[in-house]
Amino acid sequence: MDDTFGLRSLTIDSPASATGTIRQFDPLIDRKTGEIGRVVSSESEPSGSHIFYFWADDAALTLDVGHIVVGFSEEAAVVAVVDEPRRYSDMASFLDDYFDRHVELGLADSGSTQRPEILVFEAKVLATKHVRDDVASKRPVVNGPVYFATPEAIEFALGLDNYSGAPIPAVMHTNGNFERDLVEGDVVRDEHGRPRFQRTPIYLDEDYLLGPEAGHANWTGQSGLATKTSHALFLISSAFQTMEKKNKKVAALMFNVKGPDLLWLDKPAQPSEQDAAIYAANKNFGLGKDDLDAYDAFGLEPRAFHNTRIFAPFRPGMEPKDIAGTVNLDDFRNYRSLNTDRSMPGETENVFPVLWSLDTALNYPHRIFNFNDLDDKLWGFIYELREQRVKSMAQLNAKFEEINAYFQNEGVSDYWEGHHKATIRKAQNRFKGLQDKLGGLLSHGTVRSSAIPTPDSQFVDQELRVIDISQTNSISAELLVTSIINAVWKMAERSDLGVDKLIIFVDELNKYAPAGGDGGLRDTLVDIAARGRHLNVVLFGAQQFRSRVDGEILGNCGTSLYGRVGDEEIINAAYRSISETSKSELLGLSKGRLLIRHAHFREPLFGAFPMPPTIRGIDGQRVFGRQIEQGFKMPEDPLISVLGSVMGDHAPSRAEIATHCAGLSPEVIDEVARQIRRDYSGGNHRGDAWRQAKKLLTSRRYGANHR
Amino acid sequence: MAIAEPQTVSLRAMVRTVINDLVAERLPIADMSRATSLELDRTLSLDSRRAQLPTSEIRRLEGPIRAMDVPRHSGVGAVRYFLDGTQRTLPVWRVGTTPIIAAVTAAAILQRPSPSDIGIIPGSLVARINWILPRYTDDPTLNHIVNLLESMGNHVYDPLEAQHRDDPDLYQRMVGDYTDVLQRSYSTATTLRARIEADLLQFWRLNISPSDHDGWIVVDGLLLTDTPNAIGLVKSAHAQHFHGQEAAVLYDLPIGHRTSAYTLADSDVREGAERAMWYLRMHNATGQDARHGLIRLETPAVLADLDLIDPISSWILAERAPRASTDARWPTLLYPIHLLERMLKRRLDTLTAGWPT
Repeated sequence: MDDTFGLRSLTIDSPASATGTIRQFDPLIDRKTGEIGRVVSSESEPSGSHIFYFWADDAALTLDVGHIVVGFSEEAAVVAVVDEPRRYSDMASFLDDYFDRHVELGLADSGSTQRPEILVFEAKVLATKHVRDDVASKRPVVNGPVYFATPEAIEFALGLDNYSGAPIPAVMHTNGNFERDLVEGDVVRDEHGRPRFQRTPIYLDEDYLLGPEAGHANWTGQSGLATKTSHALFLISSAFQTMEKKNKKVAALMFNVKGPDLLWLDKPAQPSEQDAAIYAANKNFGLGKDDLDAYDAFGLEPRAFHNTRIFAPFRPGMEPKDIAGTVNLDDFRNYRSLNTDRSMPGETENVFPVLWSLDTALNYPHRIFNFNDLDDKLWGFIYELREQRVKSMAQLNAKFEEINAYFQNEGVSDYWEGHHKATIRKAQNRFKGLQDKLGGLLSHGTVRSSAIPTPDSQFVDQELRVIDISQTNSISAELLVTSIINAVWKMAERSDLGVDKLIIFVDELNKYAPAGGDGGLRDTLVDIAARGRHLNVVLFGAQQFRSRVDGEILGNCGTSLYGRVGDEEIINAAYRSISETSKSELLGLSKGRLLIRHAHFREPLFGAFPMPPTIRGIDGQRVFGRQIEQGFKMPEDPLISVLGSVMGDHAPSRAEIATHCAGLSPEVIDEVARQIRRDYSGGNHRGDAWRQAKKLLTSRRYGANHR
Repeated sequence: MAIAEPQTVSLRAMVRTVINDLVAERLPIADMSRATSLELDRTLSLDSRRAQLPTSEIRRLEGPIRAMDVPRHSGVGAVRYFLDGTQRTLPVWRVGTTPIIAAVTAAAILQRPSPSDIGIIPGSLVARINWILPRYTDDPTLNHIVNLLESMGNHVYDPLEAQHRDDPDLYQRMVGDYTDVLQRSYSTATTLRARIEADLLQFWRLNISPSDHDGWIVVDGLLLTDTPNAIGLVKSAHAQHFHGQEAAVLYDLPIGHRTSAYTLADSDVREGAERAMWYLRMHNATGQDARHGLIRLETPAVLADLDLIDPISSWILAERAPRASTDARWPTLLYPIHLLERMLKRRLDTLTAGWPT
């Protein structure tokens, strides 16, 4: 028996000896790597049900915080995540080493004896597996060996066996031991010849992420560090693909709050062969090998969302003019008038306008009028307008003219329909600037549409609905968010979503549901957080400052994810459940890594995730916004594509189409292409699509009366 | 290659067995388990060997006793082994005026082939409980205990063995002197430990040294046997071999200096041949006790080459770091010895687990 340092190896009599308990748990431990340390407990730091300590073997150089290991109690394997490391020596004071090396007569740089140091790790218990499957043991580990956990152990510890719903890949855990070939047991190496560390996908339980058992997810992290939105997109893609395999319908609603971030989610990060050149020309080379490998390991495809719809209000002053008091959005063509970055020809097929009539805006008077203005009198006048069925600004203006005319008659009282003229004057004044105040969201006339989707319509399977509020003013932005979420919530309450699960992603959650806030959208979001999982709506929220988000929303969240957090923020009570080591890690967490806490996990875990499967918004803007300019796309390409899909082999040649398009702007050609698609797709065509297209092109070139 | 069977029964278990037997035999005995260990008993001489050290003349091997600068050595020295033992001498019972003592001893050899590779040589760890009580009395209880302990496989040593051999009548009178028996029991325990250490050194000489000709071993304490490549290191040199100016040279010794070597004229004090001895100042003693950082080194005196004294001294000087700063004896305690002591003390803790003191 080796007696080095007075330690005893495991013996036959040891409680968890190799011939006994440990052997039964062989699939859970990496025997090829071998023992990486030994459990220790002392008077001051005993092992417990949820925590134990072990010192690391000198050769276990890869062991580090966040790795998952296995120790043993008398009859169970205990799987734990490594946390706080501490290195001990028997030096009483730092001065001793100083005096050893500095003050005394010069000694050799390498002393005769190296003072022993041990590296002790704290390990937080994730799960315990007893020899009997009907026993849930809480007994602490005993002094004995510690091993790296295998993927099987990790999956057990995270409760994968007990998932009631489908497992949804979320992050990748990397352990400190090496991945091995299943057949030969040899260490697997990467493209640089380095040993590859063991990776295990971490899954979330569908029933605990998307309901009904639990639901919702929340991301916290500093802005600009490519974590919150990136991972949210990855997770939504993961959920979509998982649900698709399970034949369940899922959709997501997102709000684009910054630049073109969420406007190109239908374009893949990994270009097709066809698009490789244009991607490369714009220095976008797709996903790296590591990312592709990660998708492969997750069992996911790095594909874009094929069913995206983008909704945007108009630019201020560019709302369509009403005809006879009505605006028909079915006739909408001018995408440049939309307040969105995605307006270039050929890329607007899934872009739709949002426009309100007055009656819609008046559902939110506390948002569109100042608090001080909204007294009982004005409220009364607003109700009067509703009674009189004033639905548009045009009708309102006509009503005010009527009222003005009324007051101009001599001898008439100062009241109209019970409202004093001062109130009416005030109302007139406040309504006068309303269209400017709502900057592109409010129409002059009544808005009608039947052919185009609306942001509050029923969802379809795999739909990703993006509301672009990045360029609207804050009032319009809040109005849109509030109205759409309220509408969706009502649909959920009526079980009328159109899909089995709906994900609502809200960025800057602290703005819409601030801690200590009251009323408005906050109440709806709290309601969603509390009841949503039963109504198949879940909230995916993100914010930079978790401490500033309403506690009820956070408390109902079954899954929390943390990227890098700032030092002023992490000292808040919102992070009290995270260990000091993990908090320190969060202060400097790199891109692509998260700390994840899920309903099934006893302790949070660090993991990495690949880049999202969609092109970055800013890259998409560059790649697809300059296709024609860079020569990767011809202005006639959208029409060629539509005619090809509608007419098949009977479609005219590219050259012929190009000839007829020559001289026309890309916007005009795109508009014609959309018209043809609308009229002829789905087998609804009558007549020759190319002939119709030529008519439309000629009409655009010379005017409608040309023959 | 091991030199002893491991002690598998703890002291407490052993005592319980004996007590059960004595109770069954209705033999009276008084419990002493709560008495302090003899190491801490102030009524006993702290260093029983002090009386044995001579005040004889010295023979100067390098001329008059003077301070000599030790050249600094760089790199790793030739010292790769360390030997030490530790003991706890515990009063267990008393029969009449006669104390019965358990001497719990642990000793081992530590090897250090490289600065970070440290461990006890397999099979060299000795942990033993020896019993010390008079075995030639007329007391039936004492005799019964002796027989019982021996039947259990234990060794029983008589602290007055020499007296019994020389004068049995005097022996019977001395047996009744409680404090004297305690003192002699302590001396016996120390002697037993020294014997174990000597056996270990012999084990090293026969089994380890042949495969490592250049390796040296440092023995904590006096070098009791004549072993090549062995260095005795005395941390607490109570005996003063020098007088007058030469003694002043010793106590004025600067850091990193040694005295010139000498040997004792009365070399029959210890078995084997005479020893070459010299003092070495390990740490700066300015403002400290004159003996601060002062150690005495001993080697077999028939050093074919006195030129080895400087290298040996430089190897020992190189052991000043790291410091065993948690031990009050750090100025003269080599770190490997400190580590070995900790391991051995843990062995003693195991053997005496549950003991009241």
